[in-house]
Amino acid sequence: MGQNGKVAVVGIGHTKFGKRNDVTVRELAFEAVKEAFEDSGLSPSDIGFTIVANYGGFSEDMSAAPYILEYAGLNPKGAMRVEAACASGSAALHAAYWNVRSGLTDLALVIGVEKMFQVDTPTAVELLGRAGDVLWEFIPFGTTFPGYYALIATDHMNKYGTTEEQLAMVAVKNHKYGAMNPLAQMQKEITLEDALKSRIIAWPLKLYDCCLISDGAAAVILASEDKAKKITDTPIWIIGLGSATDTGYLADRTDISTLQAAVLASKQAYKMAGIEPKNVDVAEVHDCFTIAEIVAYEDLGFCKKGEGGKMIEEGQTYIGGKIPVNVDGGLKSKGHPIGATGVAMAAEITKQLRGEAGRRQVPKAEVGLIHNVGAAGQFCYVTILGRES
Amino acid sequence: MEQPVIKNVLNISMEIPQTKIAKFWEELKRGKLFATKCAECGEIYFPPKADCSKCYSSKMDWIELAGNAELITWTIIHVCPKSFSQHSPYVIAVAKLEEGCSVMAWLTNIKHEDIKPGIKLKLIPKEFGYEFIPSKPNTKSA
Repeated sequence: MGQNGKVAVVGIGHTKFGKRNDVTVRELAFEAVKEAFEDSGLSPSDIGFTIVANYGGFSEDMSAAPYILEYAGLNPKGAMRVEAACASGSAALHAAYWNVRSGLTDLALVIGVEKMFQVDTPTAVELLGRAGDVLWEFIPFGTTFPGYYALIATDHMNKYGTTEEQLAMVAVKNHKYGAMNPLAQMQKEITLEDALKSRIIAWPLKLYDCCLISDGAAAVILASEDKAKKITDTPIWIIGLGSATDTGYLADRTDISTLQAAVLASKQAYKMAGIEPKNVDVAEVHDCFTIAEIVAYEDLGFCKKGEGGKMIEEGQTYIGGKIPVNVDGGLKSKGHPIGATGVAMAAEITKQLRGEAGRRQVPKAEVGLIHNVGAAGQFCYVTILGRES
Repeated sequence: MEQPVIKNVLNISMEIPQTKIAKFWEELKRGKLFATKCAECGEIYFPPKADCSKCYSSKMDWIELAGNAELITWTIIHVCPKSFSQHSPYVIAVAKLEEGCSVMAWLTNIKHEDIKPGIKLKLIPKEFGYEFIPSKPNTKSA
């Protein structure tokens, strides 16, 4: 190990997403952690530092990390909980990367967990809406999360002619792959008509344009270069990272149809990895709403600005297309347990690059990208993983 | 199957200080909308800020807004938070004020089919805040 060494994912765990009213937060997190230890052959005493991603508020623990650590036998090693709204999972992954890369520890554990079904839906909508500007958006105007992305969608439609059908096509694709993923919350294909006829949540977004309320947990173990090579024959290297932020108050943005934080974060990550968007074989993007996936295609450079709608219409983000996106079902169909999402994306890309994705496997996937957005673009983390270093 | 659970209720009530922008709330009571303008760099803030995020000056002047705005984007909220259940559906708009900053607020007094990008709006004070209305009621021109 050394300060200039590389960092790899050497263990992954991913619970089924869905409604889990049979477990507490710590019990759910334990399932993912146990799987990550089984996957890596490591045990709790090997871990030098743990980072927990949890948005909280929906569930019992205000400060969840200590109870997860105790339950998973991880004391007395150092730990923290990080929060970056819906990007908490990637924030934790990045923090764990710094921890290993700096040489402070050889092995770091990232745990993402959320239990959202313990409150009723209106309360969940309220708690999520409160990730927006509480003072000037939420309290006075009741701006919901679908509402923020609906504002983005309307602007995108007005500027580029993106259609409600194109939004629905994203839902159709992600449900197709979700139906193939045993860990997905909604393992059900839908038709374009189902999506277009679903009830309006925040016009122009309908029910099938919106991701799900979910319970779920995921865990990944990061290792220094030397350790990684000893632990596994298939280390998946973290070859690029980027992160950026944008205004909390949505109206302050010069262009509402783009997430500037994603543009900046991906540029950093591509530069660090020494690759271009065309070199990405498979991507996990933050499709909290269908419009978010279309905007992500553009922000990540998979297509030109304004051509995201065309990209899904041409089927270029299916397996066999230009760049397969969210072939695990995405947030849309696999589910979106807030704190778990970014960690689950890392687990999925690791599976893809190891060639363990089964029916959803992207052939010859060597480079995978993770795009995880917090709130309505207030945070964006992009992480690039590679099979070869 | 009925799962065994512990039922737990948490009600949170809080007071959010508004001392540093007290003038905004005082003027609102008089039916006026005031923004802050940085005395050092001239940046205008609405909703008002007590400190300049650009140049870090805390010397702020208060300016009255004319309220003239142009619509950028909007949504119609059908599924709303618990605290807004009596209002739904409601239109949330983002519009650019002629003073330069953009604002999020409800858009009322307009038929949904008359909402188009670029239409002229007026930002008006309300008892507990502000909202957009069409600058000419019932206008269909963009």
